[in-house]
Amino acid sequence: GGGMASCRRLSGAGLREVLGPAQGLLFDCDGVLWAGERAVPGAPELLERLRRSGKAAFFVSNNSRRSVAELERRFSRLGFRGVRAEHVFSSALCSALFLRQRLLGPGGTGNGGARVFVLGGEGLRGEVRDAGLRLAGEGEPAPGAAEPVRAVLVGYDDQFTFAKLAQACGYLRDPQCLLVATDPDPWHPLSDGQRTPGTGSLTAAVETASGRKALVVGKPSTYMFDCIVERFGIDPSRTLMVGDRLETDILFGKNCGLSTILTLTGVSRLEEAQAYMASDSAAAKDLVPNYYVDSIADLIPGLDE
Amino acid sequence: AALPGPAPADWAQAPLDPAVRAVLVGFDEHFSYAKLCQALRYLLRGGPDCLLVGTNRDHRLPLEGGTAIPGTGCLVKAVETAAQREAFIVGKPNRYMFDCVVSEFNIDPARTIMVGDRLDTDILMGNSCGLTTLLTLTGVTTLEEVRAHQESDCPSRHSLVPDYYVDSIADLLPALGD
Repeated sequence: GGGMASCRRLSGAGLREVLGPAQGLLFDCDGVLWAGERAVPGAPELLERLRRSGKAAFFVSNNSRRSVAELERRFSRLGFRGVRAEHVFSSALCSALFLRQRLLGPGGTGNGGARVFVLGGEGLRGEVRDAGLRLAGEGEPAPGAAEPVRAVLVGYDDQFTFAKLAQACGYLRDPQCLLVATDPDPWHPLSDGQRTPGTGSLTAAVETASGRKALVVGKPSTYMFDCIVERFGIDPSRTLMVGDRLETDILFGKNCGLSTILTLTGVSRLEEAQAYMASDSAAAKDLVPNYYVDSIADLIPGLDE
Repeated sequence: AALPGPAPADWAQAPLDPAVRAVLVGFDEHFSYAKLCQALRYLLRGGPDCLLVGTNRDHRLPLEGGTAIPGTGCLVKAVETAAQREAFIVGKPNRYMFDCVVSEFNIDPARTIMVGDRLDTDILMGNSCGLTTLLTLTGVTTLEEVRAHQESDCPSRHSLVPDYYVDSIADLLPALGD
């Protein structure tokens, strides 16, 4: 929506006014539907009620560790019923789709030898393979020895090393080689309140060494929304974005023309949203959600019985 | 110490050394995600009481034959991004090392020349510290790059322009007495 967001608590009549006209909701996953290995209380019931109300639910996650198949199993394991794989958009999947588009062309068949050097785990690597791309191996000989590596993809890589950083830079000396990052997240919360470094920190290392800027697929970039629209043709003016991280989820919603709801079960605190609202900077205003709730379970009363 | 398990969630359970008061990032060809995790843990535990220091910000270390490997600056950037804070940088172009020299040797910047081959470290530091700066062309910088900075409209690029240049420091010999 247009105009400045004002971070209003969503409850009572306001809840029905906002949810009533909505045709669909986009949900971030970590910190919204679940925290670690526990579903947010009431979240499975909310998704069930959305389905009964005839509203669509899509899932948009910056987490590039998991393939869509793994995410589907996770939903099931944590008590969410009836989530369909085609409604789940992870940055791993969308990065693979992005690379397929850019390297294999609109038909998905051009230059079948195109190889991608992936800094990431098996979930990410699998999505790239499933998109019809080939992976460059680790510790390979110098660039130019085999078919050229056409892209370096930086994802969440808990096996990241200096050697892999050097190898990535070798490929990036070719200006035709793309540099793509699954997401910009600087860190992720662990269940005990600590943090683990995110893809953003690894991307910063690759950008610094190569002198290149990465194309970032994940939120707040709108690419994942484009993937959803291409598959399902949704109307942004009738769709809500629900997330826990102001700098990714809420900015993503703003960038895609969606009204946004911040849920407080994850990374961002209400005080941070209010600080952005009080800031003079125009960029800060884009991080202010239209609404907030303590948890997505608070949305249930806004749906028809 | 061995990692207590295969995943970051396990590594985050390893005991932290209570005496650690600073994270120092230097050139580390064994840099890894696990070390980055540990650095982040110390910085979060200590907050402003744990220093974050980088030896330098060089993007690349040139090797013979024209290739290069990633420089310390990449590793510093990774830690800064994860921790969302800025490191104190000891190396050029920051002035800390010059201040160390001055405090030990009482030199007069107006009568001191900085000789280097990199504009964004050597020459920038020299200019910032009030030294006369001399670029030698035996290293990474070409004269064309200097001209580009000189002709730029951007004032900060003018700080990268040396006062003088030589093809090699051997060219200084004739000026020195017998």
